[in-house]
Amino acid sequence: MEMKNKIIKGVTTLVLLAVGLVCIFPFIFMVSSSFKLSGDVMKFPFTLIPDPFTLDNIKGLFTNGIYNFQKWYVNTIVMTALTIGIKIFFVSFTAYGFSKIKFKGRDAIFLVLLSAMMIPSDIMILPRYMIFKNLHILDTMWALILPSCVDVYFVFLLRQSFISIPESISEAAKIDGCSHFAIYRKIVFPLAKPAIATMSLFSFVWAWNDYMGPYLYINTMDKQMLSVGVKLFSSGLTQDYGAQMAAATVVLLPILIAFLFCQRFFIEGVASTGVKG
Amino acid sequence: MKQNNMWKKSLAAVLSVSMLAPGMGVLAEEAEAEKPYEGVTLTWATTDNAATGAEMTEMVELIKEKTGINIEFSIVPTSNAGEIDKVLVGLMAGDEIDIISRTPVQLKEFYNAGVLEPLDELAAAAGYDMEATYGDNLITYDDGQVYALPEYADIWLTYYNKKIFDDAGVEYPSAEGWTWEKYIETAKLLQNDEEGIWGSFMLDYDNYNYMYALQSGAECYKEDGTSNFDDEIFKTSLKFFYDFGNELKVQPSSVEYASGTYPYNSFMVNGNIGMFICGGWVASTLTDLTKYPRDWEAGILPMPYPEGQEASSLYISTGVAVPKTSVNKDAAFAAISCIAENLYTLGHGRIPVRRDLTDEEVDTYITEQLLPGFEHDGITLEDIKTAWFDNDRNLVFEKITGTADTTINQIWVEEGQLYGQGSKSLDEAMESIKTRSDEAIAEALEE
Repeated sequence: MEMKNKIIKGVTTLVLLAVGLVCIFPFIFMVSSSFKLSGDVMKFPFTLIPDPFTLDNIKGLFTNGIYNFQKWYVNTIVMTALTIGIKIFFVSFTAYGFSKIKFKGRDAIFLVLLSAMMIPSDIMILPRYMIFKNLHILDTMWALILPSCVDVYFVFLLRQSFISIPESISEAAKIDGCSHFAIYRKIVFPLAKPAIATMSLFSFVWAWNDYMGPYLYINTMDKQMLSVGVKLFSSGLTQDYGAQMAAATVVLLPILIAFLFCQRFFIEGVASTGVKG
Repeated sequence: MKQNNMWKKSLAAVLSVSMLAPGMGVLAEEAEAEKPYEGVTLTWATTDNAATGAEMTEMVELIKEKTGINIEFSIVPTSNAGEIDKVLVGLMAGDEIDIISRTPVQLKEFYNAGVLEPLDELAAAAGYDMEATYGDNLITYDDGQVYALPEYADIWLTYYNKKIFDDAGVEYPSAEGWTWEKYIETAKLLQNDEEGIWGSFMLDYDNYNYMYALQSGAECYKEDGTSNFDDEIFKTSLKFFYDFGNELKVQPSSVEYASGTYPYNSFMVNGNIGMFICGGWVASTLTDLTKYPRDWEAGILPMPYPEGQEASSLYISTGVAVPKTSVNKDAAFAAISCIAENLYTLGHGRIPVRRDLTDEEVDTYITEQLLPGFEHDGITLEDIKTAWFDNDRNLVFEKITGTADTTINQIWVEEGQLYGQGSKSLDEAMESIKTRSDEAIAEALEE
């Protein structure tokens, strides 16, 4: 019986290993190709170890004289940080209002808010473009930050998390003379940290990877974001695969680091809120 | 005495100036008439890559020199097929743009959105004969009006690796009677499985599926507006393309293409492909020996054509257009006519679409601008003239254009691959292409 279990375990491990390899292959391909000569990237059969090994693709990202990769990096970091910060502020307040404050028509308003999630994003492109144009925020990062400030999806998520915090705690705080802001700051927010961390991580990945927003609303190349910038390495008919792969690797690094450091929060948050990416 | 002379000289000078003054006035007026848009600034929506390129910089200077117009750019990232075109969104939202440049298929979307200005009236007002300069190459849509002037053409070619011909002891092919049948015969002679040599190579673009039908003169739409894909020639065309990999085995199969093992630059990189059929843009990669170093020479020929038919090649052109939101449409027309007429003269290997060029002008252009790039390959003036400037050769637009064309082109790719990979029989694939295309047409017409 023990032998049988060992065999099943071994086979399962092998199958999972094979599936894991298939999943990780594109990543390995990308990293390996970053250090190959452009002409060698698509050579068949694929070689894992670059021969010759070159750092020119990585260096070229920052010294190519055409694209300001550093500036895009800084823009993306600033935009992502502002998006997360502003989002935490607005979304958590909104969620608090809908979960802890009783007012007339609360549920109806929340339903209307939820219905915004059903509108396909493509339909929003032209109206948003016109709104941003009239607000004079086209070609600024505010055109990327403002639409995500009150993200209904996360309002819903945090509301669920806040609801799960027993009402008796809030009531006790109220009796002790706490205002809503104090209850939010001292009780609800700290208790909902895993959910807020999950929201932050998802927001980070979405803002970092957002392509359509920068593509549509940013014109000036120096104000552009990495997601669009990386694509510039693949535009034109004669593609520089080495530069593309190097750019993709460098862009992916912060996400990788974020996942490594926030893994605990992320798993806790997903487990407690049931979010799927 | 001296003082007397000085007076005389002064008087002569004053008289001369007063006599010349009216003449100078006329000259100044003429110069002004030649540059009626002096000082006008127009916005050209283009990609960052293009805007910073030498070709665009030179074109901006030329427009300034010929028309007096200043150009500023509205920079947009390149959009891929299927992606929303940012310029289109901007134009629909009322952005003031004066010049755009796209392929006719892409411009059709702009036309459908109602953001393009018809050029007929602008040309008439400017006394510009578009027909005489561009002939049939003018870009028109359903209402028959001209919406863009053609900038340059991309004419398909046969590229071949001379070393593979030499190694196989096969004579280099000639343009005379270069039919598909001859192409297949040659590909079989070059094919060498032991050495890993492919006789032929094509890509998996939509138009390979139906190129044989287009070159045979097939119409893609019937008079009643439905698709014409039940015409036997389309079936022949689909089978013809996939037979290269599946039956004749002289090029990678559909499955191998789908695996991504053979990207577009395999011909230049791998050195194991005898002949390659593709657009003229590949020629620019052949001339780039720094990026694609090779120890073999390449040759070029026109594209093969079906036996029994007139010689033909696929082509695509790029057009320049004036959006409706342009605030100075007359100046914008002057600028786009300057672009379309002169782009090829800037020396970046563009093939002009003008019908009014003399043989001498063509020869000078090829010798001075195209031949130097092909020195390594020993390609001659005649090779290029035959491939790109043969007025007796029919130029067939490389894509299906008409109602729901974007969807239909995608249907051809999907169904073609299902057939090529053995998931559908030829009849099943053709039936699906016909049915799905008709549905797409009906849906587009309903909208």
